[in-house]
Amino acid sequence: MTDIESALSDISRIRDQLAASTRFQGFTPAVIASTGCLAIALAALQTVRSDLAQDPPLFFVAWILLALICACLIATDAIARARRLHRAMADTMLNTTLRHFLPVCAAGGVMAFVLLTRAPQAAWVLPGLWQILVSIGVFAALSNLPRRTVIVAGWYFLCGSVSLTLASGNEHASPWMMGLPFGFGQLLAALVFHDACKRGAHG
Amino acid sequence: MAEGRKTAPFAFEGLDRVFHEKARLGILTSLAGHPNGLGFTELRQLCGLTDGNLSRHMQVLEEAGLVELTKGYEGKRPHTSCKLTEQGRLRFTEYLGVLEQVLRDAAKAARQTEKRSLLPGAT
Repeated sequence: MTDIESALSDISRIRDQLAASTRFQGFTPAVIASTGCLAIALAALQTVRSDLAQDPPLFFVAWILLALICACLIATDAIARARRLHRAMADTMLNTTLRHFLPVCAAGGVMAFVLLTRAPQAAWVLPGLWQILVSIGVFAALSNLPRRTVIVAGWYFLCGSVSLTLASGNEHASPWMMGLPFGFGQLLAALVFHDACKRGAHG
Repeated sequence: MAEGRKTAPFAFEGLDRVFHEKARLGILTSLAGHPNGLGFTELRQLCGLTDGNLSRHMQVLEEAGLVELTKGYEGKRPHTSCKLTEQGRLRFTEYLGVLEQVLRDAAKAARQTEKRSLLPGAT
């Protein structure tokens, strides 16, 4: 390794250290809260139109579509906001955050695909598993998020455990088994990010 | 800035003089991996500086808004903690970007010189 390559590698290491110890500020509280409201709205719609909740594939496809819409909303906003607030560090910060959440999203997608196509009778485990996966993603990203985000991770883990226990053996998952955990979880996250923004130092 | 780089590619105006000093570069690099900051004594040992030198450099960095000092007590002993500010993190990252560019330009120039020296007829 030449001196120049060694110096470049040192710079890259320092930049990674900076990114790993910097709080990610790309999440806008209002956008996060709106995803929670969308989850509550979908649960309410599936309660009113019970035919939408009785068919497991239709029930879960609606939630997967909503998750994709919410992911797009959050990602688009996070990229713009991170570029504005983190400036030169934006790409590194976005990559670090993505590294925490991408494996969890991929695992959730694979689980849904396998269960819905190969074992639809066991699809009742999906809400609980998704909530536990989200909690793992948030726990993994804690070093880059406001300290109080640990409450959000704890909420999702608790909800996941309760959902798995309550839904065991049921043929149909209740809309509120998705709506309550994700709706209130996202609202709680929005509250934590809002509080961190107010404090200015990410809590 | 892009325009400036086109007209004067080797001006490297982003090499902020506040950062571009050996001791201060050491201080900022030490603080980069410690979001909760470091004690004055720890920092002095990591950077191999004397009390007076470290104080002088910390004063420059503090005046530039790049670090913040918190004075308190650890048990009964006075304890000063130093950490990078948000502004410090951002500006240090930008400085690293320019430094990286300097090195890449140097590597490119070295490769071109090497190629030229390999051409037939080169002395």
